[in-house]
Amino acid sequence: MKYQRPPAKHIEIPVASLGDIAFLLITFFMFCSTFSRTGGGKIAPPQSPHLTQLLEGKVSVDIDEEGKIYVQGQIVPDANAVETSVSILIEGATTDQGKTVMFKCDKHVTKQVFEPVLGAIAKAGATIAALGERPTDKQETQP
Amino acid sequence: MKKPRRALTREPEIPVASFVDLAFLLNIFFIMVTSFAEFSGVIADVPSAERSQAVAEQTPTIAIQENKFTFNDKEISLADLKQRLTELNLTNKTGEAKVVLLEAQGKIPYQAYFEIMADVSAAGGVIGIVQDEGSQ
Repeated sequence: MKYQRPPAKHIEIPVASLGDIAFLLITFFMFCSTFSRTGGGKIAPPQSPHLTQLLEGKVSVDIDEEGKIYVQGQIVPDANAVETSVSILIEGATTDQGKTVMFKCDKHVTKQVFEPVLGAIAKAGATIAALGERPTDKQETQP
Repeated sequence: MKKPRRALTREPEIPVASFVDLAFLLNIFFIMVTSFAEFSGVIADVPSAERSQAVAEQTPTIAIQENKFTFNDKEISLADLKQRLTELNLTNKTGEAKVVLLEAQGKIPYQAYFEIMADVSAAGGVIGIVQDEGSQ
């Protein structure tokens, strides 16, 4: 008996709706993302078990492991520049969140570097949100 | 004369297959670069210079020196310091009575300073920075 092969059928997978889903995902990411404003240097955050969850402020001041100071991700020369920049950035802010400066500093940086910066932020009239992390079970905090 | 033959009607289609590839490439980019940021830390409402001048001399002062802490000029361990801060009952105080002065001496790393800031903040206090004249 002769077996006849059925003619090849061109099958099409509808992909038009796949594009809609992909663009929905893109829209989600675009609305939820904010580009990081931290500086380029390495920062090892300090640790403490007594930390609270904080809302993100609009201004960020960072000090990296080399002691370089960044305001909104841009390097600044000294604490005086921090005071000027922060006072400009928080000018007109009416809410507490608007006046909050996210301060991130490497845990090895010495007092001679971070203290004038903290003083400068305070002089500018901002509230400091000092960022850190909770120690994990394996890590031990050292004074 | 022969009538011209009508072309077969065909539904026009826009090819969208590559469009989807592009969209998913964008998705992969966002997935790779996005990190859901969680901010944990302490709020340090550091009084400005003008306010700190008005702070009374009897304000509790913590001094951090290399490997030791002093509370109102008396040497104290970190555990005892936490106890003393709790005893101060800073949560129920208002205004400048909440202020605890923090003085760092020598080459203190930020880790030690941050721990004290977190402890003062957890006890309900407000940190006031004592700065050396030279560091300003």
